[in-house]
Amino acid sequence: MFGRLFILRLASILFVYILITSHSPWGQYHAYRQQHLLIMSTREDAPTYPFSKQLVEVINQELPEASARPARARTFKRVQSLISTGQIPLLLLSKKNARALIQGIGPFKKFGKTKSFVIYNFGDLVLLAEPNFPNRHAWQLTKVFMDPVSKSIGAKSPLKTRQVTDIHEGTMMALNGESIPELNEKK
Amino acid sequence: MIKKIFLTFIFTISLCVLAVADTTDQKWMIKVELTKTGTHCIDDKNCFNRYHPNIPPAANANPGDMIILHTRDALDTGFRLDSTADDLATVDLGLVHPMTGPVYINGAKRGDALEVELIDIAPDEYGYTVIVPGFGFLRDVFPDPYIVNWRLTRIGAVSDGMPGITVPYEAFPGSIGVLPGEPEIKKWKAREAELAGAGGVALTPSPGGALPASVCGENGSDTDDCLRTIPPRENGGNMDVQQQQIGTKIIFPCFIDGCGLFAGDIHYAQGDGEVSGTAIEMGSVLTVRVKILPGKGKGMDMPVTVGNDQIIDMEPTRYYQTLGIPLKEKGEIPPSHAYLNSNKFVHLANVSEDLTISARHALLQMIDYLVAEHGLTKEQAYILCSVAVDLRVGQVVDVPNFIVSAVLNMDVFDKYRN
Repeated sequence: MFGRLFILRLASILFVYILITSHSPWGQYHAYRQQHLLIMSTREDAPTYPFSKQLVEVINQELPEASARPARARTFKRVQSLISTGQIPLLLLSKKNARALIQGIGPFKKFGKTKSFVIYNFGDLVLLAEPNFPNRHAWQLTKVFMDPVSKSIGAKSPLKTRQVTDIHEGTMMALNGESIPELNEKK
Repeated sequence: MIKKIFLTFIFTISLCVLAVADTTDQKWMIKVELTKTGTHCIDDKNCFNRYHPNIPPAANANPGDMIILHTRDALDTGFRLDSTADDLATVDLGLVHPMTGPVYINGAKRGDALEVELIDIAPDEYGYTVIVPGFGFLRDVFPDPYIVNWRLTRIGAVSDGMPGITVPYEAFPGSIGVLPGEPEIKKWKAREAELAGAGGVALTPSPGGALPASVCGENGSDTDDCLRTIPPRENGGNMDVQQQQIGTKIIFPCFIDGCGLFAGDIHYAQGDGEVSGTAIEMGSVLTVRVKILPGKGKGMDMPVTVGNDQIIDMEPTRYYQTLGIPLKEKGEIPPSHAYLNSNKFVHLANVSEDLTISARHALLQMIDYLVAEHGLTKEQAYILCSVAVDLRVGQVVDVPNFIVSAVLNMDVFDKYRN
């Protein structure tokens, strides 16, 4: 589904990124974070980590090129720091905590509001993306979750549920049946 | 009744006298203690993670005082006994390394030297060793995250992730040093920028996660001049030299008045090489005391360590040793040599007088041995090498094949087991 063109583009982005950051041993660590589609969860929102593993399984089955992996943060503080700086692009939270993150309330009060967009819903859990997550990737993930195979993990279209925040543009494009956007389109 | 009360009173008084007669009440130490507050460095006024002379002192101490530093783990992680590789992806690399201090040493001047005697290291109950993607000596061979969680006592470190292995307690500060002065910042920044320009590994100042934020953060007073803590330099810092054990003295050149002593990133145990990129990393309570050596810092290139029999105490009673010479596959470019961009190097199977390639050769053989003979996975073997295998230079004369050996402390399999 990602296609040869996508892989070539991803490879060239990675190559440039590694070149740019190769002065630091951490550069390759950042590249690792880009090589794998990391789904962040947190110990402080207990259901998110076990579910992130299920999610990863489904994504890797349908989109093996994504090479998805779970990434568990210890605290809400780390979650906010990693998502707000774009270090990790996707985040799974229960709806209550997702709302708190976006509005800067509850456990996220001292960090202020954090911008993010809904990709898809899974019962009480919501998959959010950081603001710069590409439309193309959101479109591809949405297609996976629209597939009947994702029913087993309770995937529910964001159009059919009340949202905690705006739906990602790439997700909307997929839900509206539009064709896959280019990687260099906005976002 | 009165008699009973009187007897009880006498008995109680006797107990109090006995307690006072114990040694516990006898005190002679003057203590300067920097404790931890909050979960992470950012919550802690005694913690910082960049070097700059304008970082304000957290405390003052006199020579001879017991300076007690409560330190955090190297990655400021919050890892737990049940942490997995999935937790490793959420490490914030901007927070490396949280240091406790700086301590202003009364009477010390720029140009003096500071002798720091390591008095004690009390370990936390938990430590970890990790393989961080893109970091470590064999980062091309081990690209994925991995973690071993250790239960620590002063007898040994054990882990469910390393069955049958007990690593002896040989703690030392991974990072300890003094703050650089303005001239050093300028000089070191320039040479590291030059190296970066040549494609070498260099860490330029980065404000993300930098502490104290008022000096080193995005809007700090000296954002562009706060040095990262990862490379050791003339001020010490992240030296990761395991011979700096309790009882040894480390002498540092002082670059600012008061020296700005700090420590952190304490290692429970580490092999010479720390090959996976981490030792057994832990928080601790480190106690040191200092002496000023007036004017002695001027002629020093780097810190020096002075010890006695500590180096003997660390030696294994039984060992297995692999030998490495500078051999590699034709066409292979280990990550350490990529920046040379050398056609000549790529096509050679035997390179000349190269200790890095020799060390790699010895280490790869040791990993193979541990997998074949002790049933470890490759990742477990790499981790064990990081905490209990010493890379040692055999010789640097028998051209072209300089030898580095890897010495495994076999005590880990049969000593201190609990």
